[in-house]
Amino acid sequence: MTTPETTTRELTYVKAFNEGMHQVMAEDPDVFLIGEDVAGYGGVFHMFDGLLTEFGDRRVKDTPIAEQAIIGLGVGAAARGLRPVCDLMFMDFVGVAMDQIFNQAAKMKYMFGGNVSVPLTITTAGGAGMSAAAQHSQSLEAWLAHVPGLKVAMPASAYDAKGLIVGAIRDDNPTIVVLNKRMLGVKGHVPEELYAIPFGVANVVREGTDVTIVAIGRMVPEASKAAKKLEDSGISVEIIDPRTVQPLDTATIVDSVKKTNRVLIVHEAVEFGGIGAEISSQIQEAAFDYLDAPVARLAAPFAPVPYAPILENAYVPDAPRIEAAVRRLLERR
Amino acid sequence: MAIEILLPKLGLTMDEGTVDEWLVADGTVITMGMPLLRLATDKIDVDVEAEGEGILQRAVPDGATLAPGSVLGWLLAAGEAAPEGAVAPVAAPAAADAVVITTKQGTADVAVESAGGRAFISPNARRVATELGIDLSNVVGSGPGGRIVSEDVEEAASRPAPAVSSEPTKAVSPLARRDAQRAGIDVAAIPTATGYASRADVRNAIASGPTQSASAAVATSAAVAQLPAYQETASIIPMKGMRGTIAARMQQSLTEMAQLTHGFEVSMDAVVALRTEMKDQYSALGVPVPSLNDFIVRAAALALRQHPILNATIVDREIHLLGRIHMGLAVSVPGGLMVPVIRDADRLSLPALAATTRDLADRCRNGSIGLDELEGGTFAVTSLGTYGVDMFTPVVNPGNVGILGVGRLRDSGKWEGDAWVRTQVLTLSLTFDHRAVDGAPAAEYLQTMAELLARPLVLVS
Repeated sequence: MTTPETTTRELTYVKAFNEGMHQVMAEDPDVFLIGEDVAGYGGVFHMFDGLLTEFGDRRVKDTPIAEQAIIGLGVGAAARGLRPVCDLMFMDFVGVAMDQIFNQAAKMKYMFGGNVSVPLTITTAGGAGMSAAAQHSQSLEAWLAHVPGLKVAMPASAYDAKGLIVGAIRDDNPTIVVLNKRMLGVKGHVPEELYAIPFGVANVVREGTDVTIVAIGRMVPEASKAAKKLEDSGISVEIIDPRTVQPLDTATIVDSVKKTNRVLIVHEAVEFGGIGAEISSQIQEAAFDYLDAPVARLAAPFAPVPYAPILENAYVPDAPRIEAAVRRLLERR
Repeated sequence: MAIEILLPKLGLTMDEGTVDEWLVADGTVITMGMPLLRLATDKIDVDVEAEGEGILQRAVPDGATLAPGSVLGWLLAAGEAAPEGAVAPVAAPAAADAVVITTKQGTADVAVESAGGRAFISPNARRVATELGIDLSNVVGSGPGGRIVSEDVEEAASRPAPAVSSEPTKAVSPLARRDAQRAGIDVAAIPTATGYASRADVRNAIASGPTQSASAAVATSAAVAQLPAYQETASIIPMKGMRGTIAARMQQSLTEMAQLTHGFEVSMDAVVALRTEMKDQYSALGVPVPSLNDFIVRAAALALRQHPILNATIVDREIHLLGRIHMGLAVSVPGGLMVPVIRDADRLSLPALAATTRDLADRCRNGSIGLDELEGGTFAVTSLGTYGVDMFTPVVNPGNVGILGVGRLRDSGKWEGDAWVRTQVLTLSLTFDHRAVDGAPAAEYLQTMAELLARPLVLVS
């Protein structure tokens, strides 16, 4: 099996994603890409650089600023047997296309008695930390994960950015791959060959014995930083990255909590009604008798993402606050 | 109600303190503000003063090293007994950054009895207790609010039978305990005449051998083997406090960084000439003349503005250029050295810089420097010139990428046309972290230094 350990080659997160797009489009002529500025410009985050040149304008198309139409076109094409990749640029824009996403893409297989499947992939970029303000910084994965019929991936490394986009495109049902804007330039080991990461299989980023951190998206590297600091104090941290929040790999999380007896869930989405609430509930249902402390959460406050960098930094959880939360969780007299 | 005397946390980086010396005896009537003990930290020594009134009851002896927040003793009301469970060092909350000298606080144990007699027990503790057959009513909770957590159950399970634990615990001096640990000897098993285990008792125990447990015997012979038979230690300087900090920081610096040093000779003729004029003209006014070193520190700060790469710090795999220039200044003190920090050194005029430098150095030497004045330096200057050293290899303070060493002012000669003339020079030794700074930019910094020192009126402006 392909793993990050099988190579020493380093790519950035966005280049790894881009390589996955190139390889999967070369492999499958049914895959095509549409979205705003994806062709000539290669995507505002350069996720799609070089695809127009390599695959031509029949398979890589710019659209008007009309998110509802982009997804609508994708749903129709997918229902007719193609594998469209529809880009929504900023995650905040899913709202414009929401009816197409949750009433059409997510429901079609069910409504047509299983006679139609919708192998549609939606790509978008979420997350705060770039002073892009309240309408371009949100993390809305909990909205999407709530809808039966949608699968939601949150790559937290370069390796996962490639493997999850390939896994998403090959999936026969609607998938959404949420890249994190702050992680685009983060490097990691990425094998050259084409590989797919299956949905619903969590990544044990780091093994430990004292406390489990379940971290989503960019909070994974932040948790790793905190874990290194905590290691100096003799605290052994296990980090679980669910990779996909829908389907959610509850079993891996529960196994870890049974081992460590304490758990902190970290995401940069708003805490209230966030995916952490779901994970927390599943943990206490499955591992109540293994808990030494209440399941803890660390997430954004119930407020829009601020524009001012100082406020934005205070809004998004980071390594020092993760470290402090873990220490609180382990506090003994 | 007994008032606890707690070991204060004096700075963000302080993680232990040593009771250097109790200044008052047990039973002394203490009034507000009375100095109780002298506390040594890795950076400075301070007196801890009473923040309440009562009769002193000490909980730890001189020499005890504990974490901030630990109970050092109590101030008791007349006739009041000291709380049970004397020395139980408590780690301070990690996030605590406020300066807490002493806190008035009841010592009543929260234990299991919290809310109306209901015991708080984590689900996991309950499960583990069932598995290990432990009666939870005998377990004291250590979790938040006195909750029993699984660790408490495991500790209860691993405790020896009550018959053994009811033996009176033996008082052991810290040094004796350390000797015993090194030798692999159980201090509890050491025979003593007084009930107090001294270093002599430990030495006797090592010599007599049989009291050692079988497993400890191996460790003892290994420890003894470290000392050659023809040598014995005359005295021991513990690597603690300032010595320990210096040891750890220097080791860390040389392990983490790719350090190398440029030696660079600069002409000091212009500075020396200007200082001569200053001496002439200032002496009548009673204005102090900035020292040679002040000129160099001023030049070093200004040169950093032009070479921001040297005013930086490395965070993970990123070089962070720092917006403000805080100049560290190596000051030699008995037993080690301190590096007080001049904030925004590049914005201070030469006289202000000189005054600040003198003040910081004086207060380092008389022990009144504050911990916060020893933190946050972004670059440093260290001078061995007065000791006659020309060129040396200063070690970069962890967190910085450069340090400038200042050598001895010395006579030299140079050709001016056909004439061989006298000139005064000194050697600057710039150590830099090659991970962040390359050789050429480091040399350019030194060139800027040379230019500034050649035009010292710029430094005075």
